[in-house]
Amino acid sequence: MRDKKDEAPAGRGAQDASAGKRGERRTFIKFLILVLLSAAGGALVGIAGVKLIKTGFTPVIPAQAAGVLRMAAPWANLVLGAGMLAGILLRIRTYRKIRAAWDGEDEDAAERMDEVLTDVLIATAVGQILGYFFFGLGMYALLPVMDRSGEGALAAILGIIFLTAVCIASQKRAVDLVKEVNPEKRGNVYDMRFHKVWIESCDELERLRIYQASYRAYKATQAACLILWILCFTGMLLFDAGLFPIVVVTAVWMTSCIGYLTGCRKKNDKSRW
Amino acid sequence: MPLSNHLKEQRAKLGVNQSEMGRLTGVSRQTISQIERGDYSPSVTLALKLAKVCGVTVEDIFSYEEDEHER
Repeated sequence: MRDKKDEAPAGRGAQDASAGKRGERRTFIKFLILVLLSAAGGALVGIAGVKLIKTGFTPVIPAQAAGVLRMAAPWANLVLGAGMLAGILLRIRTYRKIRAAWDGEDEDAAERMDEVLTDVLIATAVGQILGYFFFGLGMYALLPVMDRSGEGALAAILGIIFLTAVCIASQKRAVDLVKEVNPEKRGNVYDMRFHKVWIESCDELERLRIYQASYRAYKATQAACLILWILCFTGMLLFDAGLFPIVVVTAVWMTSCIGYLTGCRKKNDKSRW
Repeated sequence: MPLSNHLKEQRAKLGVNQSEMGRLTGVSRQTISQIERGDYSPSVTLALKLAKVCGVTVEDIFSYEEDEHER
């Protein structure tokens, strides 16, 4: 005969299972609504696009704007690099002040030091990506007048070299400052194996944070790729942007997805946790 | 968080700061700080290492207190 005490957990288990199924159904309905709304949104954009094309609409950058772009874009990286250098030097000076006053125990000061160095690393990462963008933009703006705009082309090339040098030197400085406070850290920014060596010198909490941040980045990339694909598809239909942007977005999307999934499989197969 | 700890007290007895404690246990100062504040529950390996460095048992540093609503 079963005791009442034994029956109670079994009853709760059945209730939990039923609640779980209800929750699953609700989630599925929400998902279905989202899919239908997305499909309706896509259809609307498509219809609007086709109608716009029928009116003879073609996106043209006004001649004056194109002229300003042509003059400014090649110099953008030099300006960005100089601005970044000044900003980063100021942040490093702030770091040095906090570090000089730090007694090794004050957690607020330690957090401020971490924040300053994180600011520097974020600035260099974003700066480098912007640098590639402005270099592309500069070259695009110069293409039609390349034969008579030697100084613009030179500025674009010097700009990307200068910006890259600022970013790498700033990363090196920030990493060296981290190593001063955390001597267990290993890795040299100039070494191609820097990331691998750095992670190997991180402890369990730091690795956990890196892995969590990587997962967030993966999810953000997935969302961004979907949005970019829609934009590229719309661009292909409306602005005659061609198939190339869609191929590029698909390549990035696939790389992110396969990299993540094969990484998960490797972890399941071999890793010790 | 159901895991509470006395790492700060044990570290004070040992007379070392967070950076030195990190060096002794092979982790960063930030990790020691997060454990002391109860923001991070360390792995079994690290908990055992901390206990060994302090010369006490793991239970002297960490204690698990189950929340009423988690039962």
